[in-house]
Amino acid sequence: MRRGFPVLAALALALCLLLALSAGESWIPPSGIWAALARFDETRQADVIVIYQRLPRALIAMLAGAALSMSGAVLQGVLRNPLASPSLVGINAGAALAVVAGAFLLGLEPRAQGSAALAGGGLGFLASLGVARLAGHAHDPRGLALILSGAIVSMFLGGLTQALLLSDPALRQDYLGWLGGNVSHVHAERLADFWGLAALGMAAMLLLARRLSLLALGAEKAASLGIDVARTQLLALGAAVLASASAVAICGPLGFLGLVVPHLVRPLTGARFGALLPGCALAGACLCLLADLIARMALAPLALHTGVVLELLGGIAFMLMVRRFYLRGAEA
Amino acid sequence: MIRIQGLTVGYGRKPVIRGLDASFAPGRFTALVGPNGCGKSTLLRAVMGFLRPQAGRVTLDGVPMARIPRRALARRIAWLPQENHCPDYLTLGELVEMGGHARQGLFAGPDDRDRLLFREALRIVGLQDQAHLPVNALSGGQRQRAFIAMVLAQDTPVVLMDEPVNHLDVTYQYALLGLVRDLTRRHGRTVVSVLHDLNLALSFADEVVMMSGGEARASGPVAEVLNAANLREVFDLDAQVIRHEGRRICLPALPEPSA
Amino acid sequence: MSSRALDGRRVLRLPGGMQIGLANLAAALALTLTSLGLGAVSLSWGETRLDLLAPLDADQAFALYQVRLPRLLLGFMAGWSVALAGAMLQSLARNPLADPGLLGLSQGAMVAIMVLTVLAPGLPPAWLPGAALLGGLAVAALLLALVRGHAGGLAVLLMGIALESTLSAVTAVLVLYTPPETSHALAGWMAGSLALADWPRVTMLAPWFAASPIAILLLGRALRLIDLGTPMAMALGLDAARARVAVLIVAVLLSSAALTAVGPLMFLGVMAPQLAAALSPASGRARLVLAALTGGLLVTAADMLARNAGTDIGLPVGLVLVTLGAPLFVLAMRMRLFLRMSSS
Repeated sequence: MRRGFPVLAALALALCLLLALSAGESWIPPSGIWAALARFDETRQADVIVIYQRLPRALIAMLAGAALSMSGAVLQGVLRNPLASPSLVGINAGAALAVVAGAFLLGLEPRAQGSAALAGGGLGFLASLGVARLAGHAHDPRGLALILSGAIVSMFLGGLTQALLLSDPALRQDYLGWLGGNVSHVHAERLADFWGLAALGMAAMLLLARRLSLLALGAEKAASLGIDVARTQLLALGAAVLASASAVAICGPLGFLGLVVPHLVRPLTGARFGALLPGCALAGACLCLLADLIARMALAPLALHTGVVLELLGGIAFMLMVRRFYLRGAEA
Repeated sequence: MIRIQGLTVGYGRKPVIRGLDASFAPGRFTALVGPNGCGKSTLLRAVMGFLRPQAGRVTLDGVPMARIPRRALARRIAWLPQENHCPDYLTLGELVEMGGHARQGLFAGPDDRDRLLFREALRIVGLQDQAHLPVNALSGGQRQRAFIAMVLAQDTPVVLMDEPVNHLDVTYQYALLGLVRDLTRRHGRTVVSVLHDLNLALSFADEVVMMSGGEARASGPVAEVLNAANLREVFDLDAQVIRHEGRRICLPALPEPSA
Repeated sequence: MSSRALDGRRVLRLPGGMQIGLANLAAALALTLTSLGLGAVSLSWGETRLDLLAPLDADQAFALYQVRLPRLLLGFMAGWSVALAGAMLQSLARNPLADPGLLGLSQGAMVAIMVLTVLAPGLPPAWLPGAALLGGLAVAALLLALVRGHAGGLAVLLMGIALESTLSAVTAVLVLYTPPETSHALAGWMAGSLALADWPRVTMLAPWFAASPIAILLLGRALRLIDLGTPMAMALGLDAARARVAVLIVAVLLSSAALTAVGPLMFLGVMAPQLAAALSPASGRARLVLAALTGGLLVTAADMLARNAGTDIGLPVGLVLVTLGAPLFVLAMRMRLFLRMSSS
């Protein structure tokens, strides 16, 4: 399975992409998609839909899915915490607040919001780490304190974000959709602005893959093998924040991809980061496309936000994971 | 008298203790010894009713423990766990006062007799000047003594202890176990204590129950039962039990030097 | 009059045997007086300044009695209830970061309210509090069922976080089915607002508020034992399983009632108990009372700031609370950590 996984995953991704481009209010067969891509004719309704709506949407979904999943895998590895993910350690909430604050308070243009998102994501993460330390759970072997702090910090930042939204009803409509995790084509501009940053983050994580695998052996072991532990951790975490904050800047916070995908992929690729990270990218892109599909089709004609679907499914997945990881063994 | 019959209990599916029979003689100090993982702590927890037995039963003076309500049980048996948790806000004095919970009503507080008892408990463990400190600010050994004081303050005829002295200085180990022996000799209380150190068991206990693999292998008066043969069987230990000036000492053999 | 407890604290011994720490009593009095003072200022302040001692004309009387007084009372009662629920949950979860919002209780109540609004739009608002309570209780029951047998704190918290996300998503789906006016109103309510305070809401929350001291009296000691861990609590004579369920139910009832009246006051359940502990360390019933008083005071203060911040609309009290409280919270936890590390 391990050898075959990348190929299978790539095939699955291609299928999902095809499905995403075909499905919608009107079903466009593969021939139609091919026509739109190869011989674009702007008078043909189907071509317009494919190129201007569904393709950008699919691209956003794939990028966000890949970026968030890889970040999740890296966070879980560096923090040695199976529940770590961008949404649970405050990165998503911080980035979202920064974008909203930038737009509402400083009138930032979308392009500048990207930098705000990065700063916000990083600060949100640091805040979670800080609160975890303050709560005095430094000797917490399973790293649960960090998750709790992340939840508290996210709750706090989310509250601020909601309140900011209320302060300007005009802007509110635009951002309310974005805040729900919306991969809609209206954000195609954001994609163009931020895909580079996301790609940079992902590339950095891939480059660090070998060192991350060694880190997993334990800090001392890794140091004895010549790895600069502190620097690798810092770079890896920075790359994870970069990738996930950029994804948030594009389509708003999407939860649970970073949490669930690494756990789904790890049994199939092994824990070695060189295989795990690409696997997560492919699987994350796939899942995000599927989630988006469900969001669009499940309650048609009403459209859900992709973020909502992910939270619904992810929440259930999280519950199952908590049961599996933490509810075995002795009673209280 | 606590009697255990055919007890099978564990965490989750796999039982840690299987078909164990034992009884703890009233008014005596019984040591519970055995290698790591043999189920000593589990046994105490099962006696206290924290674990539901898969088979067998535990009775206190003929009454099944499961039928005795918590408050009534707390007036008869006190329990000292191996690890103890304490919230940050509790001071040592407050902790000791909580030992009297089962005696107080919902609204009543400690009466004069209680207060004397609490002071005495603190004095016995040597912490009478530290009562104002938060429990979590104490050192490991002091914390252990703090919880011992709370158990003493509970003032029960039976006391179950799980490794009560393993973090303490030798001086305190001997002082406290001496006190425990006093409790049985002078006040007629029943004490059951898990002890790691066989020599402490030999010096202070009256009876011993030797456990291994979830069963009671040998039990009876410590002078008879804690002998070389049983040590070999229960601990897989090659040791001598030497008598010196009326006391007994366990002396394990030195391992052969490896080639 | 006063004597000393075992640990040297000065205590007041009441007939019947109960004792109260004098330091805690002083702190409670200070908090109460501050609340009253702030309350008086809050009542007389605002766009139309009122002199409470002088006779009021009709307009002023209206402003005072129909707008400001219910707002003040509602805010205090809600803050008290949420903070009390938070303190109780923190004991159950054995973690200072437990909060009714964190466990999905608020979201459960919200889902219930929205389901009712969607399914029966014509239903009189009097049904909503009941629905909220049922929603909160349903989530609590689900939580207990999911962590069956392992109700040790962390598992409950983690499950709560998972439930909270799922329920938030359900809320987001339900919003799609509510008409725009309703969803606007809901959005405002979801930020925690006292703008809609009126006497009916006050009378809705008042019984829960009034009953809470009884709960404190009955459960305060049990909570102190539970803080030692369930086995130790049982060994000392507490029927821990029953006590924990009772505490959970009370916490759910209090937070759901406050939620219905005022909307979710996120973060207050975590902040207030920590601040109270930093102000005057206490255990048992005193700890609960101080936490509740701090919660009430925080909301009163936040509301005063919210109303007079200078903007036309006035900020939702939830926002002010969170902005006010967060640095205080960090400060309080820092002090605790510092104290703990410096004395060991």
